[in-house]
Amino acid sequence: MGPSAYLLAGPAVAGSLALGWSGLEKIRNRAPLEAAVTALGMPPASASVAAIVVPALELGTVAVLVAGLPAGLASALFGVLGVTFAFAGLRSLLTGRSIACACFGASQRKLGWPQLIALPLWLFAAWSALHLPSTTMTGRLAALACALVLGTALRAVSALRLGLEARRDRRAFAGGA
Amino acid sequence: MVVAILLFVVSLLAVGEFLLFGALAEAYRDLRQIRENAGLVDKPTPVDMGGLQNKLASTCGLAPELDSVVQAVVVYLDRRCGTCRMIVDSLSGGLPRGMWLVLVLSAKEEGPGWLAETGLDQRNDLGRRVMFMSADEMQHHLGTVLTPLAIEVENGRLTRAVTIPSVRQFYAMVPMAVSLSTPSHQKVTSQ
Repeated sequence: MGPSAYLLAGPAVAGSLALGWSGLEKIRNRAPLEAAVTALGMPPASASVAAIVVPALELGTVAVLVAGLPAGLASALFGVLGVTFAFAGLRSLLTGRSIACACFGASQRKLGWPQLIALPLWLFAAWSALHLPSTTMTGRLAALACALVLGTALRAVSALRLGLEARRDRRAFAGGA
Repeated sequence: MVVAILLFVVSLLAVGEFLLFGALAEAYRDLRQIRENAGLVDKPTPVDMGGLQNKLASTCGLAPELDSVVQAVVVYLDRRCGTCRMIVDSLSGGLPRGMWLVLVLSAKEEGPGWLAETGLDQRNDLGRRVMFMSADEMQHHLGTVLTPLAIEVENGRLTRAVTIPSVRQFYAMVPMAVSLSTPSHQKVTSQ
């Protein structure tokens, strides 16, 4: 696999990393996505459905890439998700409401221009998915395992940092070890 | 095949750990939010000094020596206040350079007992930086009886006041003392 193949695969890999993180955060806590969908003017029943369908599509995209299913499917999923996110951003701008983005779980970031600006990137990832070099199942599983372990390590660092901060506060107020 | 299965299992475990750490981080954030709403965050709160801003320290009931000090922090402590007692317990006979204490008393007889608790002797240099004040006097000079309270003194004048929520914040307020006076100069001056 030459360097150009790696470059071509880059956007799809980056996109799948983002979708994987995003999907896992959404299945861990569906509330921020439900709140965002409701704030966009959708009925509550649709919000519950969206909170299941969106992370399923995100994680499904990653699963399609790892399983080596037809590239067109992964490409279509990248495209559908990118358009969905852009539509949410556009609707947020049109309603004029300040709606918290639930892209990677609960956050202070707002829906709007970032989702619209990201649309070309998602479409680029969709194109990149059509040009992925052929690899073995074991190779793809290895890449998935490495990405997940790295993502878990990053998650652990932020959790431990928050824990240390909480302990310092507790010791400052209540003393003890 | 075995390698593929192992990698799949590792991936599943990593997913589980990812979700767990995410839940843990969220729990700590929730805790912080509760503490912020309850006012239990270890962060000094600025206090409005009103008419006391830039007043000479001695005019506010403090030791006249503070009028000639370049930089100091005066800390008001009340025996009835839990955080104040924790600060006093942490001193163990040592008062950081640049820190001055005002022990707020409800009765004058409490003075010697408090001083003994700090481990400081008023006859030496450290003890010189401990003052006593009744709650009424503090109310009269500052317009409030709020402890633990820290007031920064620069060039003899009161500049900034903050609350001290913990022992950690007390020691964080210790001023960095920088002096241009060399030992040889001190020897000449003392002569």
